[in-house]
Amino acid sequence: MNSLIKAEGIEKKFGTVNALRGISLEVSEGSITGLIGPDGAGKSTMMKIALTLLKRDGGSISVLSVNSDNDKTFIRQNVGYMPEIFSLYTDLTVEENLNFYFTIHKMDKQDYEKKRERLYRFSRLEAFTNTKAGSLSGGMKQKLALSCALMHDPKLLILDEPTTGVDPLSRQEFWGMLHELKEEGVGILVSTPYMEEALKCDFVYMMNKGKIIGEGIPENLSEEFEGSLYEFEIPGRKPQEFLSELKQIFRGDSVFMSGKKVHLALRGAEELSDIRTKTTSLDPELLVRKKVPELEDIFIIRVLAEGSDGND
Amino acid sequence: MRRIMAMIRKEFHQIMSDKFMLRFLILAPLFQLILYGYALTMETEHVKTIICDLDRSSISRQFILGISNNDRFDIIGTAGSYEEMETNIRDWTAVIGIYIPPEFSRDLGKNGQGDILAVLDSVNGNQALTAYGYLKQIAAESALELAPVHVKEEYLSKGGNIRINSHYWYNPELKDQDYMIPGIVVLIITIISLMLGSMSIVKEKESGTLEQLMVTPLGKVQLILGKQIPFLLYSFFELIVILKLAAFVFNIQLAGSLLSLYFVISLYLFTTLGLGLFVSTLAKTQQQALFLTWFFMVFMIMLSGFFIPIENMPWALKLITYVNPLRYMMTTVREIYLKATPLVSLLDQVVPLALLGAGIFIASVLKFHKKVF
Repeated sequence: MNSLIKAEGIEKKFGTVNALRGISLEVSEGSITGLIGPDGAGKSTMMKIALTLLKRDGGSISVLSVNSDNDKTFIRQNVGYMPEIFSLYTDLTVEENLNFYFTIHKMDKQDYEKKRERLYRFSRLEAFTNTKAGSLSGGMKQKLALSCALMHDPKLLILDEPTTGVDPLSRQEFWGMLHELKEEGVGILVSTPYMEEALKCDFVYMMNKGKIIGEGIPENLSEEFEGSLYEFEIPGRKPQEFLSELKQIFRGDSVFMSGKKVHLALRGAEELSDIRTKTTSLDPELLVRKKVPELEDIFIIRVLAEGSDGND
Repeated sequence: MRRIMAMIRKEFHQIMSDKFMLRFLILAPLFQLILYGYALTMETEHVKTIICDLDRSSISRQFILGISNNDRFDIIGTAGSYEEMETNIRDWTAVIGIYIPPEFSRDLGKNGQGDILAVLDSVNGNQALTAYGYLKQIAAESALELAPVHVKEEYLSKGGNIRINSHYWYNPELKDQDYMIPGIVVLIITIISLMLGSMSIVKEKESGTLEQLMVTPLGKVQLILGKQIPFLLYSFFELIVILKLAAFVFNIQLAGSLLSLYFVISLYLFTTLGLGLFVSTLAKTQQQALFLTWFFMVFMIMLSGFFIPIENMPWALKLITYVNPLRYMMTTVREIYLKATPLVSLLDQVVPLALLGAGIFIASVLKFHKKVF
């Protein structure tokens, strides 16, 4: 597989803030690479550096096999990009938007009909041809934006949180489209704050505070976890009520909330009975279960581990 | 080229899709023209006056003293002949010429009536009219003082014995609109091009579409041209409408060549669209752009000589007006509009205008290039 983006030790500062601290990543043809992490992790910054929209302060990067310092124009012209906020003309219709991006990208008018038909079939936007882009639903908007980004058949797609704020059904549909594109051999770099979407990627990079804190095939990431994970629950009580007590007991280990439960990650393997003995002082109704870690657990465990290493 | 066309087409689609804005863009200037055309009036102070006194009598000196003591008039010199005085008015060194013929005091003594000729450059109709009013008053006052010596009682009851004959040049009917309309035309063109020019790129910035455009093969030059040409075309369209309206409502015809007018306006649009581009690089939101645009606009209009004659400004402000493109524009358009002055005679106005336009536009493009790309 050809590598479409190859970044090595990318650094970026905004004033005194270190937005990126040595990011290395790779995006391959025919695969979906995910950047997961909270807001402010540096996902958008990394994408903009790959797109040559931002200058990096250190490291090296090649995009589409060209050096991004010398071939800005080439990169900009051959990558499909969807920014974080909806960036089409809301006062133009679906058709006008498509036509505009087509004309800007391609010179051959004959191709337009074919292209348009294909994208309409792909995005199911045909019924909305004359609707103003601004009055489309969130999901529709994103499909239109993707269609516009695909206008020039890019080999590489960079999508910045394309499904944030989109309803679950449209999200699913959108990911379906991405998988179709992947089958066609397009390389996709996509960022998302949703862990369940990370599972749909072929490879993920976990980002936090400008660093990559974990990377791998999503399924493997949870399997690679060497410690053990336990889940605590007290029926009828909120997790924040007993979180601090658990933190007291398991000082030095990762204790965090997960939904209505509190999770405890231990570095080594420990017997369930040992955990039970340690927590006898708590509410007698406390339930403890051993749990297979999910991607979200892995992410939080790594974030907490980073923090305690004093790398901040 | 097709990319620029695509940009232009897109801009027009956008303008057309906003029905409110579209109506506003068409109606507002017309409204402004009619309203300002009727409503704006001018004050008269320090009118440059040249004296040609061929009588050289105590009466004529008395009259001249009356003028020089009045704040409304600034005597800038004396002329030895009628022709010399006329030249001064023609080349705009003086606005009023007062010609006292050699037989003035003799006629006054003999017939109780002497004639003085006041020649007024009434391109600024309001100024000319007010100035004329003051002249009559001064004439009446000096006659009153002199009357016991030279004139019989019965003439006094009729008011002034010194009769002023006036000839108005360029604006014979003394219509204020004749002076105002060309100025308003320039103002409207300024407002439209500056506003639209500065808002359009910022709008793309604000909505994130600029970022999207940057990852297309669209070049910076194509982007700038694609953004500015629609407003250039629109400004010209508006100009045609305004000229027609001015002719229809105020019956003011363009005296000079339409081509010259278009030429200077094109030069001028480089300045305003360039400034718009400059604002685009500074502002992040349309709100900021609006404030910046207003700053430039008010500055340009106040120091253009439209409301306050430049001659009346303190020297520091006067200096600043030299870098104000609107200053040159006001003069040039009035000259072409009312006097049909050929461009060749307006080089002292057109050359600075062209230089300013080129300078501002190039600087803005460079700044845009550095900031945005």
